[in-house]
Amino acid sequence: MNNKVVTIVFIGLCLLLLLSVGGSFWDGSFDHFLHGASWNFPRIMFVFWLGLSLAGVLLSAFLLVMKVKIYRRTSLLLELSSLCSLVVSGAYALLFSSSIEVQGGVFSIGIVGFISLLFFVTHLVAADSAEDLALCKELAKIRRPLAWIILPTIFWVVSAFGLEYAKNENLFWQGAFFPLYLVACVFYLGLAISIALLSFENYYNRLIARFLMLCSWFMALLFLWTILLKGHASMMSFVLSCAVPQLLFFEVVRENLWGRLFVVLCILFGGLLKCNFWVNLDDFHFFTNMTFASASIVLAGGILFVVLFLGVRFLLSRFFENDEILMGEESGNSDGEVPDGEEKKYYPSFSAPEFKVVRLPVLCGVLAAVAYGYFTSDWVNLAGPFGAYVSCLLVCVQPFMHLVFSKRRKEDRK
Amino acid sequence: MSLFANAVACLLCLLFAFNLCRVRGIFHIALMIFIVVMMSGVYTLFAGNFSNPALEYYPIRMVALTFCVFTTELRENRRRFMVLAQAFWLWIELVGAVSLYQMGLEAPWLRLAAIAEIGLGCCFMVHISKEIEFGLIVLWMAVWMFF
Repeated sequence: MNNKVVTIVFIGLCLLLLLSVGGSFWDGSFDHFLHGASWNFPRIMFVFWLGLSLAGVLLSAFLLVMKVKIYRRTSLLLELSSLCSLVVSGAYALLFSSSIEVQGGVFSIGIVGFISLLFFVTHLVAADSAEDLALCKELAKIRRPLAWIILPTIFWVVSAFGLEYAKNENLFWQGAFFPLYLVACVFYLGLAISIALLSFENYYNRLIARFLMLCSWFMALLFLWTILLKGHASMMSFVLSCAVPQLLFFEVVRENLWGRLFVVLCILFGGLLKCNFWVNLDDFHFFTNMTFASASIVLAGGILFVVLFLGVRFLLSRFFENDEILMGEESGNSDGEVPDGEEKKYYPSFSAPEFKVVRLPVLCGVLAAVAYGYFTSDWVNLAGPFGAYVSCLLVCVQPFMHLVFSKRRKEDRK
Repeated sequence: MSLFANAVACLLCLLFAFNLCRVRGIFHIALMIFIVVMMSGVYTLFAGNFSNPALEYYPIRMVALTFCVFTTELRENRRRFMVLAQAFWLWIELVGAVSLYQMGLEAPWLRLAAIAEIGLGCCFMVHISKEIEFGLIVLWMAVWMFF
């Protein structure tokens, strides 16, 4: 861990929080905490952290499915960040229940959170060589099948959330483009947060940084398309999340820890402004309505995330830190790609080991989703995530079943 | 969008896919995809009428078709990426169809079913010969043009 960066960030955030809470008494905005039913600042923060809760696990699953090999530490950090973000968004929903209305789409994100937890725990246990080796091997086999289930589920959940939001909350966003834009934003935030988290670890993944820069061009195109379709979009967010990342072209910024952190924080703040625009349709609403109370809840979310993330990170440090060679400062030539050690083998259709793991659970999941949709008539929001939930549970049970059966077989032979 | 403009868009996708096959390296491929997205957007802007909500996702549909055609030229993990590209196309069409349905407009459900069937069919393919590649491209073009 880069203790210097962690300490500076944490103390800085705590001091700012103290200052803003004190300031909220001074400008009279403290009342918002107690009677803020019409206060939509918590809603912006809730949507932002909800987006982040999907970002890390989406990126981790995507890289696994696309066979892009990254080191375990990066994947674990991404998955952990997703879970911590979900807890932060849940805390917002609990504390500001008067201004945040939790609907079906949000419950589906809760289901994805549970699946992400399964994915994370499987990854942890599979990586722990101190435990039962047979169990580790069995769990390692279900990593990619889980990613195959998680990836479409997140696409489903984000799309359904976007469609429902456009239909029920803000008709301005109705249309086919908004859900696609939401998914792109979530993916982009995932890339940004991975660089920030690796900076805490004192590592730098050049592959992800390059990928982030490329994605910033695509985000700029999507932004221009939004302007063409809707007439206006958040210019501030464009500058922060699409223009500022171009600084990564310069080696001075790219190779400097604080330079990278600056770019990443700009992207995250740009994402927050995007959420503000989606909720309020006003680019400057965030700044014109900014009070000390609003600043307090922004900072409180950040601190809660840092505390949770670092707490779990320290508790599980033996899983994160091992003897593998990592990219970045330790190896100047590495760009984050892990050399391919597996031999390439051709599998006929429906006979790959991953497919064998996934076929029965997915079939059961589809049946469960159809049954759920039939009995509740909710085909869009929860049917898909419910099916994925059943599939993931069944996939996770398989290694234990294999172990039990193999032990029995051994005993029978004896 | 008119039938002619739709056909030109389909030809453009083939051209994009052809160019995408020729580039090597992750940076060049990403740059090429960026150009594809940009060109698709510019084409939609000039060839279509923006008051039509179905055009909101037209450039992304063009990109999806480009990816599908591009996967026929891959030599490794071809079936995997072919299915993934079609799943991407299916997702875009599904989101588009649901949003059009929510707005009370006619949604292209038949197109969805056709893409899903071709995608499912690709899962069963053992060896994808040149003839099958050509057949798949023709099928995708037919889905683009007629559904």
